[in-house]
Amino acid sequence: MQEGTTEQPGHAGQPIPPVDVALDVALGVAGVASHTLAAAGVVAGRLRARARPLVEVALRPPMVTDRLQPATLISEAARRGAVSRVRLVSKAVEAIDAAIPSIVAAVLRTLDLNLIVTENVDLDRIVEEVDLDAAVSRVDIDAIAMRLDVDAVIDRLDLTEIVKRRVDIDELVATVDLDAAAARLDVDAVIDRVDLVGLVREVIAAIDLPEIIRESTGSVASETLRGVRMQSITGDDAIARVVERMRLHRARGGATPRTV
Amino acid sequence: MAPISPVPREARPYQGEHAGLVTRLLANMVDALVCGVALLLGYVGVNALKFVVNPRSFHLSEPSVFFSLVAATVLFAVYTAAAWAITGRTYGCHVMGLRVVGSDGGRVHAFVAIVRAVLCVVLPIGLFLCAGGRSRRSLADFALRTSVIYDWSPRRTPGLAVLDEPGGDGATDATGQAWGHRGALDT
Repeated sequence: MQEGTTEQPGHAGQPIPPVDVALDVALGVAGVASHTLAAAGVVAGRLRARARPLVEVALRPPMVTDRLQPATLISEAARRGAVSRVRLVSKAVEAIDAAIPSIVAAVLRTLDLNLIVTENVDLDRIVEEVDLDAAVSRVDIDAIAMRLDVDAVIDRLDLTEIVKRRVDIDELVATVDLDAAAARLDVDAVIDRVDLVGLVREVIAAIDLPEIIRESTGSVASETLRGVRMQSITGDDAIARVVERMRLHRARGGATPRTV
Repeated sequence: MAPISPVPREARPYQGEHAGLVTRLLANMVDALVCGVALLLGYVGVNALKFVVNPRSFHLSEPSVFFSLVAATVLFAVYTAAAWAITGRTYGCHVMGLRVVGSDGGRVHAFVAIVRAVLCVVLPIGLFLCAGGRSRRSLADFALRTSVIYDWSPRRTPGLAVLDEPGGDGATDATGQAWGHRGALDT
């Protein structure tokens, strides 16, 4: 047998820690004491039945006034003791009440409750056992909705994208009576907002209406005049070219070195 | 927005360019014809008045050549000065699609129009300076910084700039720089 260990019968070779040995000894002593006390209780019960007359005489002796009888004195002492006990218990409770918060706080500081709960509590099982429907049925959802900032929620949503993805606009438009809507339109107001003159001018410029009119209704005189003008412009250019050619020829002749 | 132009399509590229000798000569001929007709009408009118006043001793007046020339010169000067100052174009300019403008492209001042008319009448030979070169300016244009441009619009076209930059497919000058046809000729 190794030092500091013991062996239990039937488990040869298994070392037992000293703490367990001490615990076993204490339990054994306690068992013996309890048997002893039980035996003493039985003996006392038998003796009490036989000694009761003697105890009554001792507590209530004849020829002694009630105030001085031992039973009366014991009762008085018991009453005062009860009062003192109540007072002490009250003070103890007060002291404990005052001390418990700081003690609990100190204990909680040393403990990681999250870790303890995570490692030791099966939250899924607890949640499974909870009747969430019943819990939700007791909730006043209207009151909660009243406290919601709906505008802020809508601001965070891309409603345009949601409508594009989820709404069939063609089908929606097919249900609309466009003729009725058009009948309610103030067409005059719409026309007032349109720059009709500018629009017409743009169209006329784009199709070159003056040229079309000129080509279709031009008189002989205007055609002749146009021809004279264009011919004169051509003549201007021709004369200008001749003059420039002469200037160029003169400039080259003046710049040519004379050779002998 | 594109403006609506009453000018024929083939003439639009020339609008704002400086006019040359042929067009300006034709315009002056038309103006001279107008003045001649006006003088003739004046002569007929004066003689008709004389006939109405005293038919017995009526005979056609025979003005001297000098008087006729002076009258024609004065009439031409007054007519052109008034036309340039009021509308920027005489009847001859109107027929040929020309307009006289100042250095800023706008209508010439009345004083400038009068001096220009006097110069044109006194030194008509100065018109031939606009025949060629990069500058199509007559003597009066050089002196008064005026220009004669193609403008076929009936009324003065707002924003029609006087084209001064040479370019296009014209000839080249002594420096070899292209000018003419499409581009304007610096006057």
